[in-house]
Amino acid sequence: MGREEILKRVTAALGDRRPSQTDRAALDARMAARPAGPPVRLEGDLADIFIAKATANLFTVERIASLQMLVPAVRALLTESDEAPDISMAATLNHVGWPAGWNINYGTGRPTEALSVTSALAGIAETGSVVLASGVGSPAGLNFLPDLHVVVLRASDILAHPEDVWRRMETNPTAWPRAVNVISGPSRTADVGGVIVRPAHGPKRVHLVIVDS
Amino acid sequence: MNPGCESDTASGAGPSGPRVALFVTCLVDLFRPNIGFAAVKLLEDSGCVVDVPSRQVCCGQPAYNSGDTAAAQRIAKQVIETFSGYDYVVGPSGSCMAMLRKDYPELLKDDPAWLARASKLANRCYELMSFLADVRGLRLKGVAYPGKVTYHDSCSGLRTLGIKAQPRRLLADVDGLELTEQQDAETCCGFGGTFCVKYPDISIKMVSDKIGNVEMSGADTVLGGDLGCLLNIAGRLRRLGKSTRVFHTAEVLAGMAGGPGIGEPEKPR
Amino acid sequence: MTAHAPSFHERASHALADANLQRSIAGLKGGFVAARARAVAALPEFQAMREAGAAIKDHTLENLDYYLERYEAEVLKRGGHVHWATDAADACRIVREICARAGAKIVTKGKSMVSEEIGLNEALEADGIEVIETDAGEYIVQLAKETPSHIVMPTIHKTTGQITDLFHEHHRRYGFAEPAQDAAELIGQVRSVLRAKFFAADVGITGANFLIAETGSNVIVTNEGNGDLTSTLARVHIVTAGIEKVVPTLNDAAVLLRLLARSALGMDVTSYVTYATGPRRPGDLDGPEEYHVVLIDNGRTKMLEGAYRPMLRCIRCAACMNHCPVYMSVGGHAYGWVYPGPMGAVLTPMIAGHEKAQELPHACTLNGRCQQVCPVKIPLPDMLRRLRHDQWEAGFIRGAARWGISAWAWLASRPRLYHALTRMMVAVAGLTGRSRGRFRHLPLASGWTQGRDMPAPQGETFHVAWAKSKRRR
Repeated sequence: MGREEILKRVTAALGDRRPSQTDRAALDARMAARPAGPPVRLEGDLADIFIAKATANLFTVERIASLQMLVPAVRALLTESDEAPDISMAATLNHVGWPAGWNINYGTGRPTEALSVTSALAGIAETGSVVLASGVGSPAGLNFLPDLHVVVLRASDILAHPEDVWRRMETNPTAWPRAVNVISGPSRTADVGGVIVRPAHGPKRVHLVIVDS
Repeated sequence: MNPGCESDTASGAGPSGPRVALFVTCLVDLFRPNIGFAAVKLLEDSGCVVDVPSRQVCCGQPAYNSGDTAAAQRIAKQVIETFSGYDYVVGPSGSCMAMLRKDYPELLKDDPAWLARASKLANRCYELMSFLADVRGLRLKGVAYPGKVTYHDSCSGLRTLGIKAQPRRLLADVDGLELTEQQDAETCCGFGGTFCVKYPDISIKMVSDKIGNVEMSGADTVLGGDLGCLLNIAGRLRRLGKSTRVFHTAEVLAGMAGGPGIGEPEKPR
Repeated sequence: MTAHAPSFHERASHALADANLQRSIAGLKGGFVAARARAVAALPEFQAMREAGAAIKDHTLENLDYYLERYEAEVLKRGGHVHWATDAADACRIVREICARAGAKIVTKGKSMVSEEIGLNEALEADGIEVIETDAGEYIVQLAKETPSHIVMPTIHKTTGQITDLFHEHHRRYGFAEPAQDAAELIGQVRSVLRAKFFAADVGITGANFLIAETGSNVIVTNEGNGDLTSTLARVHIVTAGIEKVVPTLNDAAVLLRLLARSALGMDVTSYVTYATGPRRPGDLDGPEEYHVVLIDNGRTKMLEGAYRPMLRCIRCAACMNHCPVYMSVGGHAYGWVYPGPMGAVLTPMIAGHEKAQELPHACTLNGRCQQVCPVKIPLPDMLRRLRHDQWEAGFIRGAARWGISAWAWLASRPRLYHALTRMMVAVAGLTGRSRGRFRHLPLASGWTQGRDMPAPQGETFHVAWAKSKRRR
């Protein structure tokens, strides 16, 4: 069997020494402790740093005082049209009070998707990134299929480093999401002549709505 | 002191200054003795007593880099024997001195006795520019080279031995010399020992790129610390019919760059 | 998985004469190289991060059996399957069986260099499966029936004009009648064509930048978003990954991720970093129903054994080739296989065998720039020299290359004889060459003189001149 053969080769390559009980305990402890690497220093207000980096990453960013302002924020992003807006949304945001006339798909992402609204569980100031987790009411496809991806992020969820995000999350098999997407800008590629083109397959624009309360 | 006899003192002992053995290098011996004489002069100017052990040929790089490790080990042991008993061993080549400093202990690491001897030698080995600048703190006076000069950073010296600031510091003391940095000064010139004859097409492209950068810098002279690189660059310059001059840095620093540059014909008497 | 037959020499000559290729590669210098330098300068902790990255990799490799077992256990706990492939054929067989059980007709692929290493596309196509590369560069190269020439930017060897012609020919059936006007339009066509394929795919295959033992996750890093669409929309997700991709924890991955985008692209982070774990959970609205990981050995345990272990630290950033003056002269196809540049010169002989890749370790000046920029401090020149040593010991180096070096070494061990001989040779050479200062032609040295003059010796060796000068002192 491949598994036995490969593990045998690995052990042989490592000097034919299987880890002892003490070795295992040390390795188990290291896994549990999850030691961090050299700290990256950030100076200043985390939210300011986050917004500066996110902007440099080509997110468009706005701040709203509360979730009550989300509907007008999204309405401002829609193109003028006679038809009722046809957008997709993470069901975790369905309580916000969307206008009745809007066609909102709370299911999986569709092949053609003008705009989706999703909710981030954290922002990372170090890199200007948002972290989204798949789960009940938040299909990962909504992060990749639309032309315009709107991400709602609470200001209080802006953390300094990825390590801080991991510390907040449960990693056990039931809690850890199927997909954790760390997104740092719109989709892009430079594969044709080295010219940067946006988008490639994913969203052309990612709009962050930072909610203060 | 006889070669082959170990010396316990490392630093400059006695009123005549530290005893330095010159590691000539095979290329200098064959192609450009002037560099050897320039090195001796600079070492003496810096207060050293210079000896040139006659039983030296090569550092063993050609064998080592071709994969003939056994031959490289034999040569290494011979070099260690020949060069023991001096306070320092100094050579006008980053690649050769990197071989002695870094690769000899690595080559002989499986033999504790030889490893000890190799390590001891390694600690006393220096490339010429770094020795003059870092160890001797040499300041030049009354040396002139009127011209616009650009410096090519040879790879081993740069990356293994950290030779970068030292030649520039020394050249700053030369009257009339204007130092200008070329683009991609740290990019390999394409010599690479046997590489240049095994892969001539690629090598020639690399040296042509290097010459393009030299020309763009506006310099009339290119200097460097490794004769292999300089032969490569000069050889291509001459083939292209260009007049840019090529010297080893030591020749300029020693005031011995008055004659033909590398690849130039001797002036008629 | 065989390396191409024509020699490196021949392919390199071709490449040097290819004006389009030369123009494209020249663009790399201002692009990746400059961008990396800026990104590195902007992170004061970069050197410390390299030390930490190398240490994490070394620690993992030293305990690889433990970490592979932990990783597998986590994947299984989360509803995934783990398969172990000893070599390329084994890996292809496993993937084909999964696809057959899934009744797969259409397979989308995120970028996976190991899948190219094992020849996966050919194996699946032989089963009548339509395989579509979704990374724009890989898609283009697949359409052109070529191989990638760079592990991060596969289309470095192709001009916009060539790609326009390619799409004009192949995209007619999708309704694109006229040639595209620019890069944006070309990529727009890729988006449109592939969007449909993502939804049609039965199986999505991706690689893994890292496999995280702590959570049983695979990490993929893209700017396009194609990896996510590949893994999310298909019913079955297969991850192909070398066994050396395992890292212990999320925080270990964080260190390596800080190094990866900076080293590869000069970005702090790519647009998408995704941690995918197992099949969809109860309540999930999307995601694959089946999740398979194929762990691939294919020569890696051989590297683990000895002097080549540091090569397994490689995180496939391509910084080495971007900074290699040889790669920058001849491009990726000259190397003849999946992995070009310095890392390819080590991996090709180690994975595909010495016999198929003999020239590669020699096509290097040992200048060391690669090691300097490697984010995990792989001593690449040492590995290449070691490969030369292995070849010498195995008798692969023959003929003039061998006896030339042996003769030199023999002479170098006999200083008195050497000095007597060279004294004569230099005198003769000085007689013939000194007036002109150089030789235009030299027998036995045509490699030098085909493009360079040989500066003439000065008439005496240093040792002769020194002895004379000492007598005069």
